[in-house]
Amino acid sequence: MNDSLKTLMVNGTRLTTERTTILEALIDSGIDIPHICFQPNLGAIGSCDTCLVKVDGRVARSCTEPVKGEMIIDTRSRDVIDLQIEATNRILHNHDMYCTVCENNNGDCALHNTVHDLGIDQQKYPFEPKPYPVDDSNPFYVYDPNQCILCGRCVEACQDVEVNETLSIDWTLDRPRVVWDNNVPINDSSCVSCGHCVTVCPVNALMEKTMIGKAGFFTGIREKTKKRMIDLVKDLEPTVGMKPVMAISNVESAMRKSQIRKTKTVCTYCGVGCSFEIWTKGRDILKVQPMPESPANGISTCIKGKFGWDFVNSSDRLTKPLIREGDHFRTASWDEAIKAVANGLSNVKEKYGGDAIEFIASSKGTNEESFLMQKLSRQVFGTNNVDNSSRFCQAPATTGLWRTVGYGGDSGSISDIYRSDLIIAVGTNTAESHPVIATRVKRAHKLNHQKLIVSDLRKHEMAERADIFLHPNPGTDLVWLSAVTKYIIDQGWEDKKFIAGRTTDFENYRKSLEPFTLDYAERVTGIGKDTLVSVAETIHGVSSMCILWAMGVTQHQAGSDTSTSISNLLLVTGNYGRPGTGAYPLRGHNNVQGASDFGAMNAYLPGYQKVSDDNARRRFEEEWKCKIPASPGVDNNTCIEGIANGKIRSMYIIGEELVTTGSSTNYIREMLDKLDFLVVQDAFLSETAKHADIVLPAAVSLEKEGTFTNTERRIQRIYKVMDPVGNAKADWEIIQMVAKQLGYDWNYRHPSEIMQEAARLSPIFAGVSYDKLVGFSSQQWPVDQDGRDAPLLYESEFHFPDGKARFYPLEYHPPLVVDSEYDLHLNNGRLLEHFHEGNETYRSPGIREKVPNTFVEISPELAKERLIENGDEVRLTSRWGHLKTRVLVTERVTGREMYMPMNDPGEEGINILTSRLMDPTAHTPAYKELPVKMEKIAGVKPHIPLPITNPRYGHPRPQVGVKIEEKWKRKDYQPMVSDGGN
Amino acid sequence: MGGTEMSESISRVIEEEKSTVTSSDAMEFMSGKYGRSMIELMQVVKALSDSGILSIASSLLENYQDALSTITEELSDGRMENFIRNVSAVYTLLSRLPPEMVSSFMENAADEMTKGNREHPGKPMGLLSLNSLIKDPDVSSGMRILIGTMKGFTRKTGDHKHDQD
Repeated sequence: MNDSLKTLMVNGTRLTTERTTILEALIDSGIDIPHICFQPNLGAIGSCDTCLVKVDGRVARSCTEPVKGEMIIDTRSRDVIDLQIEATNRILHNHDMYCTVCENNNGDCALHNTVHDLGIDQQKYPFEPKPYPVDDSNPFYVYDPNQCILCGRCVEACQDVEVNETLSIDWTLDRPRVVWDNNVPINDSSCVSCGHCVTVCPVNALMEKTMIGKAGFFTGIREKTKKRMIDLVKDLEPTVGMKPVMAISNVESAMRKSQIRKTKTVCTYCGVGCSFEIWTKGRDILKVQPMPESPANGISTCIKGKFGWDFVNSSDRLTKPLIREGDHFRTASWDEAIKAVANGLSNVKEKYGGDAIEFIASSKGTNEESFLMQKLSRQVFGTNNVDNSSRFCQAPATTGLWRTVGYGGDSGSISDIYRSDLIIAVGTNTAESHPVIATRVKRAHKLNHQKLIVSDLRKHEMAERADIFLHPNPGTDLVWLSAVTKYIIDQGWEDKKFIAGRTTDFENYRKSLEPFTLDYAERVTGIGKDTLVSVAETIHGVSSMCILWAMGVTQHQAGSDTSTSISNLLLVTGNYGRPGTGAYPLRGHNNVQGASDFGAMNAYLPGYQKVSDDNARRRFEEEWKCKIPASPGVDNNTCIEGIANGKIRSMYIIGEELVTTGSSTNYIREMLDKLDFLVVQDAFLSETAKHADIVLPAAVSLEKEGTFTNTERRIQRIYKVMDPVGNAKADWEIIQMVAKQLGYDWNYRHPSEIMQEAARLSPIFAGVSYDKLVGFSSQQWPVDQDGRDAPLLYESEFHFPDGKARFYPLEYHPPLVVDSEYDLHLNNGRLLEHFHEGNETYRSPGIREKVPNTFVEISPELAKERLIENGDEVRLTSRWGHLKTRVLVTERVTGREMYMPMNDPGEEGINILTSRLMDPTAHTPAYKELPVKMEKIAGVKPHIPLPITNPRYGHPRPQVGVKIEEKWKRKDYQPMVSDGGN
Repeated sequence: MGGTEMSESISRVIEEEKSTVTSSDAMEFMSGKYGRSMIELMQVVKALSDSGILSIASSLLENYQDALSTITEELSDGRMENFIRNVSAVYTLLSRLPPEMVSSFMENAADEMTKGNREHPGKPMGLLSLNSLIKDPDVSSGMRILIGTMKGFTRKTGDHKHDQD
């Protein structure tokens, strides 16, 4: 017998449940009772009183009433229904009902449905307008106080799910309302436009601007006419009742189904893998609606995922193939373009061999497209020169995990990060680069006593929230990580049983730590010994720990070694293979994990089978009837040097903006111009495409089907939302056309057939199939033949032949540091609002309004020393280039460390300055090792680069929940439950 | 651009000549053959589309099952049923009365209401005054109609046969 099972008597019928509240038990059992403020991801708020029931004869809110077993519940007697009607009537006092002309009349309006289901025909308390105007200051959404029912869902979402802590309800006002910060207009507040509040609003008080006037048949009518219609209907209501009006709106709502399509897709920004339904009317995107069943994100999104889709319908989209002709491109037919691509690549192969061509798959494309790109490279051209953008970001993390635990992926799921006792975040600006994962950490830290240690150069949001904030000298994380590990071992705090039973090479590793004393660490990192001891004590004091890391670790020459030191620390403390533990390199692109998983790597076949593995290679060779080289090919970073030395003569690049995201932009441009033949496949005429001989117009994710794999190894399907724009085509179709043109009989009719082939050839995908990925279903690799997946790795063994993890001894190699001439350290990375250089996000006017340009953050002390003011223009010069930008003086950076976001709408991006230095193992560019000098440009009028409407200027008001007790204390609140307000 | 002067990059795109029949060619052909009527039809279609009527019609057609089921569901609700029956009863009453009678009744009623309001605003009426009013032939005729109406409220459905006798 399951102890958690309890029995209730509901309306005379026995009901067994595992749920903790009455409402959840009723919902689970299909017993329909009203509930407006309750939403499963938010939990009970207790503000609306519509879910009242009788429990053993007393009136209680079913959403907050715990299930205790053997309770007698009454949900349908007349007096209970009357209470629910009374509660709904009170809500209607705050809400102007005009459903037929309401954008929210889509069948899912909680209030409309409650009024309808309870059969309310007359409003007991007529609607009374609130004395506040509509706030439409934010570029993405509107708040209408007159529609707001004060349920508190939006506040709960902002305070405790997103944890941006901007929204609250001011219960002290005569007519309460939702306020932003200290009751300022939305656009002047700390609101980050994540959209949580809009997503959970049960009515039309918070509404996406893209919905307004477009959602319904009558919502687009003139405001004046609409108001007259509403008034007319209101006048009739006392006579005819609400029923006929509700009937008309229900008919209108049913009709909307034919014009609004809701299609499940997965976000194409960072690697969190947020899934949602995207609502469209033709090509118009009405809204993005994350669903409770979205496996990685639930109801969460960030500004980009919720509102950053304007690029899809941008007039800059490529719609036809382009062929270079002298000083211009001319449009061409697909037939001509594909023949030209096939001829160009064949000519290079014939003259120099297949190894003279570099193939780059897109980390934003699907798994199936990566699979085909590597197949084109290996089967058709006989080369392993194929790669993807993971080389530029997390390849060192993968190396660190391969060295120690075996799989190059997160060792658990986002849910493990949430449930962990301690999070250590190293070199990750999680709240901006992986915002939805950050919400889980912030929530657990705020509500569940999770501890947080952050190591970073900048005092960003996660650093502000941290229990311990470490600010090491640039590029020295390996040293403090190793020193803390050594200290733990010296104290005898290591997990001896785990080390003895599940690892090898501990003794060698322990000896390798000898140089990493606390004194040494303090000298190299600048972190005090006491702080390091506190870190070690904190780790020792918890039973589970996750370490998250990102580009602050990996984009150094020692990226692989620092990643390895993280994994070593997790092994020493036994933090693998249990819920709430593990290593989490946070992946940058939506499918940077999948592009590598599916074989777009120079040393690995799909499923991380080494090209040097004869058996693996043979399997592919037999299937594809070809010969695959046994030695690794050239990767997509060192291929630039390959062009310089004449080994690489041609490239076929899909969706990678190599020029601006590769290191040393000027050098890359120079090298691309040396190529004999360059093909670029992209949605836009990117900076890289401008160097191409042939440009092929690619469909974006909403225009095709396939799968993506997120940072937690979760494979999710995307469905086609709309047809490709113009003559654009899906990458997989284009690659297939090239292969067919070259005489290979590829006949994939749908991406699912490509997945079947990948699953057949790769043991870790053996049980992956589209049937198991329907809708919001997902699978986390490795997936065995039976379809059993692995949300948590290493529960019983590590991915090595002996099943044991391996300690990996390390030495410290110092990074490139500042000197007397290049005396400032220039850190760089993402901003929340933009993705990478911004070729998609700059096409959203709202995002552009929030962050129109790039800038350099400098510290107040440096500004004072150099007589530089906020908004001044400066020239930054490195050994590899120079650029001009505006200054933002901020305390997020200190001393002589500066920060420059990588987004840039023009040609002054950060990589003009970066070098060709790289990690010697993973070949990832050392973007973060960048000494520069700075000079103020005289005579230029200052212009502050970050508009005053940017949320960074806001003043959040943290609180837990909605503070519903303040509502209950109000004189105008008449308690309805038996024990008063509570 | 910063740094070393580089780049053979180009961004100018020139559209190639169209060699196939375009949609505007097809339109030209159609309008030549069918003249003004074709153009007018297209204008009507455009107006229907711009006004949203086309969307409404097509949505009703595409979704008629759902719409019909919603309408039926709404109409079968008890109170809605009462609403429709009452509207129908009022229709029955009004359709049986000669329009001149209703018109005359409404006009007289309005006159009397205005008069009463003007001459005796808020003044209470005694039994004697009521008696004298009933003697007025216009009032007694109206009273007969009202009493008949009141009778109609409680009479069983089959009873009206006697009235016709």
